[in-house]
Amino acid sequence: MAPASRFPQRARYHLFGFLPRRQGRRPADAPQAHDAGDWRERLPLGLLILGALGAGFVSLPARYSLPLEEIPHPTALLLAQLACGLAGIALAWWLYQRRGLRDAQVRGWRAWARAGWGFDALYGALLVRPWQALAEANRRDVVDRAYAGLAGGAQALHRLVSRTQTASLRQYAQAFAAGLILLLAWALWQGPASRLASEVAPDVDSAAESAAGSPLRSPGGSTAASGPGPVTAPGTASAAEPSAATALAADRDTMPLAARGAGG
Amino acid sequence: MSALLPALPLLLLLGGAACALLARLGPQLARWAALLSLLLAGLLLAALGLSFELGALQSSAAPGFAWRWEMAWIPRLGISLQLGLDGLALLLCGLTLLLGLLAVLASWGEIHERVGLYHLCLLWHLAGVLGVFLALDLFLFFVCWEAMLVPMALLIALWGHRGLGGRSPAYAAIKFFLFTQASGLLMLAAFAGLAWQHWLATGSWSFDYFALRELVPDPAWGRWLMLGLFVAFAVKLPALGGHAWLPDAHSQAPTAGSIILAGVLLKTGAYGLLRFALPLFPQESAWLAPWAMALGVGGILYGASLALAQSDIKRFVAYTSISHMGFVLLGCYALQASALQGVVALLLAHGLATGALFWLCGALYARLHSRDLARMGGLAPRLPRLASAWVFFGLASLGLPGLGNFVGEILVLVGSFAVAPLAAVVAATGMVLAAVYGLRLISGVLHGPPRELGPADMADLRGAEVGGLLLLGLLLLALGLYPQPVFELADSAVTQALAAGGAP
Amino acid sequence: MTQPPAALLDAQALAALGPLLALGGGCVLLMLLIAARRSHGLQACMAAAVLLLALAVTLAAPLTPELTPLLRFDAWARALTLLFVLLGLGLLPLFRHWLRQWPASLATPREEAYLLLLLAVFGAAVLGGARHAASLLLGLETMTLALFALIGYPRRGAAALEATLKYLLLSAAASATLLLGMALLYAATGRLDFAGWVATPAAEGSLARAGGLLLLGGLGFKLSLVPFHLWTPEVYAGAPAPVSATLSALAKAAVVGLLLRLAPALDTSMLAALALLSIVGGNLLALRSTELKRLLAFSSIAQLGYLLVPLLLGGALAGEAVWLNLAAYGLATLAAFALPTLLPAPEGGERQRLADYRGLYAQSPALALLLALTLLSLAGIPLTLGFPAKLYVLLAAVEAQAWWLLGGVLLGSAVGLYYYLRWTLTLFAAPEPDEPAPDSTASAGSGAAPTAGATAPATTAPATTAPATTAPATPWGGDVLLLLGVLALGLLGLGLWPQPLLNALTGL
Repeated sequence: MAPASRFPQRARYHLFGFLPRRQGRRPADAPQAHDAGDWRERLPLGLLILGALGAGFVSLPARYSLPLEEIPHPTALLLAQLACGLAGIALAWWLYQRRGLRDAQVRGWRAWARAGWGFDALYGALLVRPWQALAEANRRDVVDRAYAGLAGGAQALHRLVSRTQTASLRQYAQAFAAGLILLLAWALWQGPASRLASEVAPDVDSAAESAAGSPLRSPGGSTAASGPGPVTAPGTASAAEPSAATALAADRDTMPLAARGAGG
Repeated sequence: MSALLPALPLLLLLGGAACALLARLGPQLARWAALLSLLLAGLLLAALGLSFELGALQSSAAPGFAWRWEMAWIPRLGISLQLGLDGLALLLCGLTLLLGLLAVLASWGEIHERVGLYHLCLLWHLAGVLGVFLALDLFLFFVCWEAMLVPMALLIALWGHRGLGGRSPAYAAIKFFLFTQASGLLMLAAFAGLAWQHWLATGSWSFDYFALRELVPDPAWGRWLMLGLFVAFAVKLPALGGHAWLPDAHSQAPTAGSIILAGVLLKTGAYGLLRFALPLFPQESAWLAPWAMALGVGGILYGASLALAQSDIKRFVAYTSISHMGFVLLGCYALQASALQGVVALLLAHGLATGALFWLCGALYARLHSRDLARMGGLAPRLPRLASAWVFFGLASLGLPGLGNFVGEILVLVGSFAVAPLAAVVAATGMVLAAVYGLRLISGVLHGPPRELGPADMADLRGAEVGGLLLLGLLLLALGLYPQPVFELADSAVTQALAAGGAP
Repeated sequence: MTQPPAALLDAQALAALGPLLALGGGCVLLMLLIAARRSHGLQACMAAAVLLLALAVTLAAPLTPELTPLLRFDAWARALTLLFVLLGLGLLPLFRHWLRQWPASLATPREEAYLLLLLAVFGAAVLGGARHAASLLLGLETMTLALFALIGYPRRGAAALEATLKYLLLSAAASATLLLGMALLYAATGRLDFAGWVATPAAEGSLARAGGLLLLGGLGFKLSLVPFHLWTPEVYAGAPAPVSATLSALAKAAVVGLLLRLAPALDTSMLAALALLSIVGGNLLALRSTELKRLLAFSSIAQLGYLLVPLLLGGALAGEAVWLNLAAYGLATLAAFALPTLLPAPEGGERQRLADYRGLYAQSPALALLLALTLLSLAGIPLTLGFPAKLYVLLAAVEAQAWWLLGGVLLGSAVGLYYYLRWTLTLFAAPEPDEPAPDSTASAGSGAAPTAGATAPATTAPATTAPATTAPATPWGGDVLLLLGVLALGLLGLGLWPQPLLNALTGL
């Protein structure tokens, strides 16, 4: 077997010619499919053969069985079917036993017939070889490669951001300043403030009253609203379900801070 | 009786701790302690199973759950410790404990370092798996889901083998952990979203399975929530695209780890689909079904083709698992009772067959110190018992009629043919490919001219090994010849999965 | 606006001031004690006594929302003070263990460290009750000044001195920024109390906006949010481990407490951007970090990012989420920094490198398990306190429908899993390194980036292989054991059964 082809010839051999052939037709080093004649190997195979026969008796429950209707089957047809099959086997056996001709002498349709009517070659060319090639090309699993690429990307990013850790105080200070400038640029670019706090502001006083008389959200005062959280990003609250929205609003109102506005 | 439910995982947790402590006195003690606690848990499960009433409580809020146990945990968020045992959970718990026993047996001669910690990890992992199969609270489910990963990652990292290209076992462990945890985070977010939907609808948070099953999530979010669940389960299954962790983890784990990974851990993904994704999101699942089935079929072909190209036997078997799990995904999203029954049968059969194959891989490695398929061959006359077992389970894995896998696959095909004939036809070619890789696996190891691999006087399988494998083989045969009890046990779960009207 | 109460402090107000009085008086007491008699043991005991007293007083003090124009003592202030005092109590055994190994050759006496710690707690408590720019500044600077001194406490250590200098200069810049922000806010609103900043309608306009953002920048530095985070790893690595713990746990918790008050005055979208950047940046920086303190520095950046998410979103669960995260973060940080404090490295000094922790489980199972628990808690793995905290963050994000933040949290957590697990696995790995090259070479250049001389001590010499099984030079005192027990119990017990903690938090 050529070393290039890691794909097993054996597998094909088994798939399309599971039956053992005569020894003489094989290259000397070809794998021997059934040379292990130990009873311990035969026994399970025998069992399996019995099992395979028995599989016909698998009783699927009615609701899971195949949706077959009763098909009319004349006895003559059945018998003819059976006879055809048996005749085929007999013919095959007869041809197999004749051994009259050496392989080299077989020509024409006989050779073609002996080669299984070319089905082996056909399957080989149409299915097996492309499949082999595909499997071989993808031996390292392209999906796995993709994930490996992802991991590599994360590591590359890690190396990239690690470069910022220069241990140079000057650069750190510069970065700090740059961050601030970015923040301020954002502030100017953003235009009107997106803080909801200012929207809350007008009803601070009413909030103070609504918060169960206590500027603090006293424990149990309002169970639905226990967050400090002031603000959702603009627009998200409007998309929320009414109950969520009201909860958020209530929450905003009961901010201790906002509620404490009067006391400042 | 119901109060026995929490005892199942607890037994294993305590057993694990006992192993770690006893190992100071002697490694053998730890092994026996592990075996004993698994046996005890098995007895407990058997006791629960024997008094199991099929069709229990059909009319109640929790149909099919013969045993339920509940205890308040975090009432603030509507979280409780809630366990339930129905037929499906019973089957999968049984599989878990059985394979756990075999895993302990398989590590008997393999693990000699830090035996206590090893069995601690093994048992705690199994306890997490049992929790996954029993949990009826989404929060608890998630806790178990994640809690079972850390011990497994440790198992792989500390007792694993080097893998493809000399990768360290830690690589496989971290990869496994990252894939499953990161997808788990999506699931957590989806659970949070479900609880939020419940809060919007009723004003209270809840992670209760039955309460959330009644809930019809807002269609705007439903699909996203469902996808969060789906991704987590599909990675664990694994479906095509999320499978990259599996070959590394399976091939680099110690033998027991591989057995548990293939036999038990993959089942949690399918279980999640059956128990959570389908019943909680019937409409959304119907929407996803074509895509999921396509993914399943793709997985069948992809796994089969990649299996053929592997030279490491454990990687080989791992890729066949991907192929088989493609059938599971196809069956789940066919949304047909017969397909789902097939899925359950396939889960059990795959657990038994692939668990056995990994065990045999471990046995081969112990003798040959190699997992390279290209260097094997001609072992049949040298190791006749191992060879017989290898042939049997190899054939089981390729779906030989009469063995469990066939029943599962054929039912999945029948069920999916009813809704997606094309998918079923393409998937059926997967069975042909299964024959190809199965025979390559068998003949590549056993047949051909004998090689010089391994010492001349290799010992064949020993008594305990033969016994364990025989048990698995008999179970596979039973499942293949008379799967009816399994169907009956799984019936309520299957009905529930489809009850919400998901079937098109 | 109501004027501040003109009357002198009445009895109730005095009681409400109790925690601050106890802490402040304790500082004075400790100072006097040093003057009178130098004794390490006595000083430590006194510090513990002061903190315990403060704890009792805090619990007993009546809630007084309007204490003085500068201060308040409401439920949040009480909770924050409790948190700070508890953190101080947790830090104390670490300090004691650290100082017990104090080389006699060092010129610096060791007693002052407790004073400084107490001062930091005092400053934090002032911040917790602040309601005015003046008290904000007072509290923040008291705390920060104490930290400067602590970071540079071992005056011989070049690393510590470099860290001090960096922190000092940058922190001064941050304080200046903060002051400028306050000035702008004052200019815009005419008020210096928080309520004025929040409530005055005049707060609209670019002046107030800019002021708020500068304020945010200054606080962001203290929290080491991403554009302002660069100092973190070096200061953490350079400072002695207990001091890093103080910086990481106490100082950040204090600033978070402040942010809770100020959040309505700040630009939420900006805060969200900072949170996202911190989550992503912190996790990426930590990815292949090979020094424990640097890892903790980076991971604290990310953790603060998670914590900010509920804080800025608000909603029904946000309050609990912030508090729960603070608790989880505080516990985990203490536990994580306990390790380098308690474990001497084989070659002397602190145990820093990943390789030093290899096979720790074989040497010291309890500590290895504690560190594993801590790392898993930081990663948000179930059965640890970090998990409910993470769940709350997710719930808050889902509830507010903040999908971007949710995505950021998920992505960051996924990335974080890698390095937390990597460290966890290392703890349990076989003591002798069976992986020679790939790890150390790849990460020596990344995690321990080209740091200036002394800050990256030994990464270039990974020749030493297995850390020798040396018994700790100084045996742990009972206080250390108690601390470790409490930490483990907190992380695991509250992770398993968080309801009691939630009960306490829902009241806030």
